[in-house]
Amino acid sequence: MDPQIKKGILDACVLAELQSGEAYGYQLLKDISTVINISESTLYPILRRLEKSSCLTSHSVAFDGRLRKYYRITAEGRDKLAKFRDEWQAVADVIEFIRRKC
Amino acid sequence: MDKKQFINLLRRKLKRFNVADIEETISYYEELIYEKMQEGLSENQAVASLGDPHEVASSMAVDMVAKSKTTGVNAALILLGAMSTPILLPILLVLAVLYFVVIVVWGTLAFSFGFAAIASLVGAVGSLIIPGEIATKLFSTGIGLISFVMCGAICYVVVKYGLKLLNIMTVKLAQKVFKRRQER
Repeated sequence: MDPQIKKGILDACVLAELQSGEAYGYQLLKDISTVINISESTLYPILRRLEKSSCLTSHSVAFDGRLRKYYRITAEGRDKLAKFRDEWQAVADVIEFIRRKC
Repeated sequence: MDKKQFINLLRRKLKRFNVADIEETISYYEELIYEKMQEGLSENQAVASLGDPHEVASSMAVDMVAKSKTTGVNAALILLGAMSTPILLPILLVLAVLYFVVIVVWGTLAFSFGFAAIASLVGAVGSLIIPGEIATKLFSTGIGLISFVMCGAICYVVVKYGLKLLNIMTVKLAQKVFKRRQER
């Protein structure tokens, strides 16, 4: 997939995943990998960026003698996700237009 | 490659690429290695699945805000500005003190001559009233009056031109202060 398109979509993927509840890094990686190719090195910058823009928060939980970082979506994150969704409805319409002509 | 080798190499690469928040990044990868091992992978397999540390670090550098080189320059400028204050402040203090010294001197001069003028006048009048030789009385009165006029004149000059000088000095001082503010 085109990297630029992929980058935009992945942000929304992460937010959508967290919409249903908090998750830790590996969990997100596994779930999103079922629908789109994403590597550890791709996911981490996304998580950082979203956290810096206050779309999600993180907290560490003690687990089996180690710390596990959980991510949680914020109200701003939900707003951003809704914006993505609306924008892509417009994109989907255009794609449908192209698809019909092909 | 085992976990320790991977993490050490990754850390070195992240530093080389000037990536921000290196330790947080390391924690993330350590957590992933652990999780993968929990799922049954061996340490080496888990590490291998992450890819080449060089590639990993360069992905981080592309996407993550790296430490800006310009912050070094900005910091230097701020430091220079702050360092100028120790030089600037004493200068301003000296100017302020000079300013007040001039005011005090001026005030004292004006007051002295003014007082002398009044005293002379009182003396002149007193000389007329106090009993004594007319010649002496006239002399004393004369001197008193002359002194009064002279001191009065000096006092007037000091006051008038002193005020002018004060004005100029105030303006200059204010200019200096605001010029400094503008420069900052």
